[in-house]
Amino acid sequence: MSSPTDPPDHDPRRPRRLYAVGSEPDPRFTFANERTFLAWIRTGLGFLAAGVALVAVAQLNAPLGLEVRIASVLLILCGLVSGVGAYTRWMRNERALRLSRPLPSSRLIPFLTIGLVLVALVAFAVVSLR
Amino acid sequence: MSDSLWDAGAQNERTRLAWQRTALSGLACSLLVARLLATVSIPAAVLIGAAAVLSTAGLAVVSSQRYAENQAALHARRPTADGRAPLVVTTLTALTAVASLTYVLFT
Repeated sequence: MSSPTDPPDHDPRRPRRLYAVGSEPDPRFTFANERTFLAWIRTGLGFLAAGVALVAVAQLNAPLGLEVRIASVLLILCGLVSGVGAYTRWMRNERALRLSRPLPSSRLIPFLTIGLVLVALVAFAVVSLR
Repeated sequence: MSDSLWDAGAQNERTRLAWQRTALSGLACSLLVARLLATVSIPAAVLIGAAAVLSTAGLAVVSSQRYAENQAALHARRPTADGRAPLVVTTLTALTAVASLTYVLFT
């Protein structure tokens, strides 16, 4: 019969290297971390939908310009980074919770901010140069 | 029978609801990508569309299983579910991103 305070020697959960360290945190924090992960996934999906929708709408009544493709690829890369970053961030947070350390800072937010600013600049150039 | 002091149901249930809305977002996004991809390649679109429907169905099953397992784990004070399902979701998101890039670059 195991309890949350048992040493994690025989913990079958994966990833193994995550559950090999520290002790079981308060389940509320684990759940909150999981919901944050899922929120990042939805953010990533939103970026992907915006990226493909941009190209679909832009070619409705005009040939597709290079600037539209660039903005669209930027949005999709933001989506990819959100999706992959969601998992690495989940793992780092869970690790910090298990070790009772402060939660690590995230490079996701500044990265996505830069991505969105670049897309906004492209949009501004398209609108003002037309 | 000794339940936890805090309301385990709300935590676990909120997490299940978050899984469900993530699965629905994933379905909407990947079906959109599949539909647009049909203008580039019909087989790729069918593949992505079928993968979208099947993986959403799979995630719905996984999220209710995780809910049941977590509920039992909380009552028995055992550790909760692990990181396999998050890894699958991240992989599916990356796959959707690759399909999106295919559409944007080759349309």
